[in-house]
Amino acid sequence: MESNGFGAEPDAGRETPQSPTQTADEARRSLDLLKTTRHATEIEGALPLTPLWYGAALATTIAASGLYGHFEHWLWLVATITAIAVMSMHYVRTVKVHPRRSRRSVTTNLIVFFICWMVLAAWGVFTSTRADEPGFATLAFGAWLATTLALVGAIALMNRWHQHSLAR
Amino acid sequence: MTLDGLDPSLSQPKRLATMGIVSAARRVDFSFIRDQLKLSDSDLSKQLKALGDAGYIETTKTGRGPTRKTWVLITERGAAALDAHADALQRLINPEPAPEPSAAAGAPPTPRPIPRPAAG
Repeated sequence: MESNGFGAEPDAGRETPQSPTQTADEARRSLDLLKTTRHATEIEGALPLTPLWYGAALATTIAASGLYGHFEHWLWLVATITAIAVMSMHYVRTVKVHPRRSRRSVTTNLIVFFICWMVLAAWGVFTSTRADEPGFATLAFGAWLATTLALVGAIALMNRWHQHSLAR
Repeated sequence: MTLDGLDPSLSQPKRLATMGIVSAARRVDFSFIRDQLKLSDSDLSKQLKALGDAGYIETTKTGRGPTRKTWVLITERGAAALDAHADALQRLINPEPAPEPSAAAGAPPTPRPIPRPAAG
């Protein structure tokens, strides 16, 4: 079995006798342990590991929102609702840490919201100016694919950074 | 509390690490703590029971069947105890200087701020 780094503790439930002369080294190790565990929890709360298919689902949501009104309404609406529902269900089932509400988390959410809004606005401009041109479907698919790949790349980078941070 | 200000309930590394994890979030899933600390279910349950008996944490359950989860929350009492324990550890690392002769003669010692560990 892999070591958990806590050393040999034959009976975890039993109180260990407290030494009145706990050394500074032991105290430093305890504080380091406290800091490491807090850090790992904050990272997990702020940036949980996200599957790559979130990228395609997010791109579908953005594209469907941008294309809504141009073609079959129900199709884009179903695509949007399905993508959001699947991602939400997955998140609820896999979330492990609910972070504390802080100014930092609000800032992070605002930045993510701003980026999504900019991508959606770009899609809106694109569909409103090019929808009547021949070959629009090909262009739209290319734009969706580019959005998907960009999001997948961003998620992969964030996951890698996340794992690297937790492994430290 | 001991004379050093150390909390016996938090002196065991597993319990201290558990409190460190729980203190950094609103609530934490049981499996996250188990995986982070590489503990068995039964071992972690023992630690949580001890911390719960001390009034430092609370547990709640949500969901049914395979989606059932056990969430662990820190209480106000637990947060205060962890802060006090961290302060005591910090004092062990940076002990207060010995009182000067004038203080020993009867003058009150000058209060010294207690350094606190960085949050996070």
